[in-house]
Amino acid sequence: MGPTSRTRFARGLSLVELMVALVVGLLLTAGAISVFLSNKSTHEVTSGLSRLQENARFALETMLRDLRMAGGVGCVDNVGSVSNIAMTAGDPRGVLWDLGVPESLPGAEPGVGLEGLDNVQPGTSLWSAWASPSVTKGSPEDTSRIIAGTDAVTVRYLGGLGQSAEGTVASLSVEGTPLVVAEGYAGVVDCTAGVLFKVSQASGTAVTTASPKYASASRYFQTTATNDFYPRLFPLHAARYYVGVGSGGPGHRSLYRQTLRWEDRNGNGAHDPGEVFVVDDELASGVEDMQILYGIASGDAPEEYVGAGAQKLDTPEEWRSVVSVRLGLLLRTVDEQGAQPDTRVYDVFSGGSFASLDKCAKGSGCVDPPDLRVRRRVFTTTVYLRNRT
Amino acid sequence: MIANPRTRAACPRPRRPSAQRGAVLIVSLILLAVLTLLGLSTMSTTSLEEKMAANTQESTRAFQIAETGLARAFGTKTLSEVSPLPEETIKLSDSQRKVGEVTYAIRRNGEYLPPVGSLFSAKLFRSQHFDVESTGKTWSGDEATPVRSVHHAGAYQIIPNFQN
Repeated sequence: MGPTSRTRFARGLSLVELMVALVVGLLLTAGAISVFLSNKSTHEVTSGLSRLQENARFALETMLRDLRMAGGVGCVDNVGSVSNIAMTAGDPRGVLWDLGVPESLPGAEPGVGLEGLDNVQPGTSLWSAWASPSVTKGSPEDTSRIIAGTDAVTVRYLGGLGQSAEGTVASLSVEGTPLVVAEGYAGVVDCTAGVLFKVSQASGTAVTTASPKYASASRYFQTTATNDFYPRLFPLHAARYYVGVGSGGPGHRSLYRQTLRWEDRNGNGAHDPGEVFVVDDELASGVEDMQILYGIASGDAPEEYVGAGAQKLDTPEEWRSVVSVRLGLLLRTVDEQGAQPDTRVYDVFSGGSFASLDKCAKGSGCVDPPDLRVRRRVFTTTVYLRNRT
Repeated sequence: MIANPRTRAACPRPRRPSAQRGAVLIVSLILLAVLTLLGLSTMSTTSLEEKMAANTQESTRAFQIAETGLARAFGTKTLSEVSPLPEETIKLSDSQRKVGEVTYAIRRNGEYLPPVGSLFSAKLFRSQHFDVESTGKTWSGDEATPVRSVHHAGAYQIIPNFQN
């Protein structure tokens, strides 16, 4: 090879050229990487917030649907017209079915369709504050996962459109397949009165209850058709909502719903005695706090909103006068991301956020969530309750 | 970017620069592809979100429309004197287009004794019960596939027993 060819090779890769090429290349790569990283973090934020939105939407939709129906007992106009013969002392399922007038516990207050607890603490029971002491307040009840300072609410009603029924409480004949299951709770009402009872068998078109004392309980309602209008049978819906430690781990919080549900635990596909359980379902993750206010009626319009346990809202009678519910939820993105922890205080009713607790207006829905590297959003809604007189 | 000396020796001159440009092209294409994937995934999330939000909006609207029907039905005065009972479809529109409709029907649900615990004596009064079914419909696109919300509500009137 001659000098000409060597010069040619050297010209292509001189040190200066190489450096310039490297710098330009690095700049380009750095630019591309920064675009990539910012895109990636935008994507993470967007998907985190989308998930937060979904959780909030689901939580609100589920809760509002239940809250709206609180205290509904078919075409009877109030729970005081319903006799509760299911409520017996010592039932381990507790007072989830505390609706109507307990017949077997003389002197006990009529139950309520809506009942809240303010500032619950882990380890304390979520069961009714005033149910007769002779009623076992539910066991087992896992109260360890409850988040301190959040609110809880219980909703009870006879759900759906029901089905026509005829006969006595001891032995009802329904139209079609029973909507209720053995060991579950059901209510049968005509438009004058009703009975809430525990179903012992539901097969074919027959529904029976095991309470022999009420075998001829026809005095509670008209058991035959009046002008072709039959009493109707409904399953009892009872649900308790609270915020608890999420399944994601100790730092996670979720909205839980506690219900009575039939579960085929022995796997034979049949409704066997003892197969109705109190179940806790994790409804929506990322729900950090729930605060609830209740609208108390004075005349037609809700006069004021008070918290559970306030002086105006600490007896069953006062609970029955609640006409609306204001619900404030604080949600956070489920996964931590970013560098700065969120130290702010949120007002779950106004939607505002503040630097510290004393800047947040007193008596409202101020909550101070843990300082985590998450984004938070407040969701507030007010729902008008039907079935109030 | 520094070529293998053996390749350098073996390759004829014109192919080297083209090989270098190719590397830049491939690297930038890969980066672009990754960014595009990220963008596409964000876009699909967003469009899914948008659909969900639109559905929520539609169902909320259908819900409120059905409530309108209930309010209208309960606004009917002295149901016991109305015969036949009202059944009506109302079209709802904003200034530009029809946004939905509500259909409600009131049916009799029998006569019973006044509710237990009410102040009305069963001898002198009876209660006449009514069922209202209200269906709210709304659509954002095709009118043939509306979002529907069906609400049931009851009402009763205490009326005197003229016969006794």
